[in-house]
Amino acid sequence: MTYLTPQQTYCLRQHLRQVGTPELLMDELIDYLACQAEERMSHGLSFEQALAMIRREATALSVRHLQHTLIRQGALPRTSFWRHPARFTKREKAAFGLIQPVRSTLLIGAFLSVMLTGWLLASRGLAIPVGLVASLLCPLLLLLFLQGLRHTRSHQRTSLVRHPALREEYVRRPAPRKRALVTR
Amino acid sequence: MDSSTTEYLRGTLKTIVLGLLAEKDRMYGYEITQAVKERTRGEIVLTFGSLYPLLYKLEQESLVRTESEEVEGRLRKYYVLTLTGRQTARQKLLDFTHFTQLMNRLMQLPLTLSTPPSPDATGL
Repeated sequence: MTYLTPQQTYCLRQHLRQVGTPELLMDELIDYLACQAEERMSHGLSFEQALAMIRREATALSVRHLQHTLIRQGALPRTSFWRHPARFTKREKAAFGLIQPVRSTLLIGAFLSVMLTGWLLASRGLAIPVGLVASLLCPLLLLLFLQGLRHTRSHQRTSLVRHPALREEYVRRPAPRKRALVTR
Repeated sequence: MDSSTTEYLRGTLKTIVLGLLAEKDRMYGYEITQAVKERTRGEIVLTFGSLYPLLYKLEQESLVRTESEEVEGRLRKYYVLTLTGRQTARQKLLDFTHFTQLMNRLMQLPLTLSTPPSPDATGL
């Protein structure tokens, strides 16, 4: 019997994360898929081939269907559309992949434009007041930029953008039931 | 697995899983899938999408309890029948045997259907 290496198991975990598997189901599905991969590998397939087959079977759709069924049964806590892990990962990527470079570019742009304006005005004989303003503004903008960078790093380190399943407010929350309303 | 098998399976999946769990001390998800596949010679293959909702439901109904154990660096969840689960399994299997006997009596293949109908037959 072939057994998966920790790296191969990690690949399965990554795949399940990508398709938005809830944390509560993660360990069980990893074991299920790992057993499936091991069986296929013992029949002569490579891990990559087994993984490709698993990817075709354990799709985002099938995992979401399982999740919804379990939520309907009350076995899993209800996760709103906005807090869906897959969506959250996208939001995280957008936050750190797009917003930060745009912010940095704007700051650098503002810094350069102030320098340029200062130089232009100085050439017309307003050297002293403009030079003063520019010399005050430039370090200020530089400080803001550095603060922005530090904020980004602390943001990543303290992980304010945490995975929904790890947040306290996402602990087991029973699904609201129509039955409860009916019996009242 | 054709659509009619899936249709019949939907109503009997609980009995199948309870029956399998009754034969062994404990089983994990993939083991159940494999047992079904082997016994039906690959004709019935359960997916995790159909198996886990049932296992979680059985757990909610206190018919099974779970035991987690680390195997090969992974956390494996075993399902064990409770006393109520054992009684339910026995009852379900008896009911199902009785039901299949009734169906066998009821669903005798009529002589008119023993051969496939020809496309020429208009039925008039």
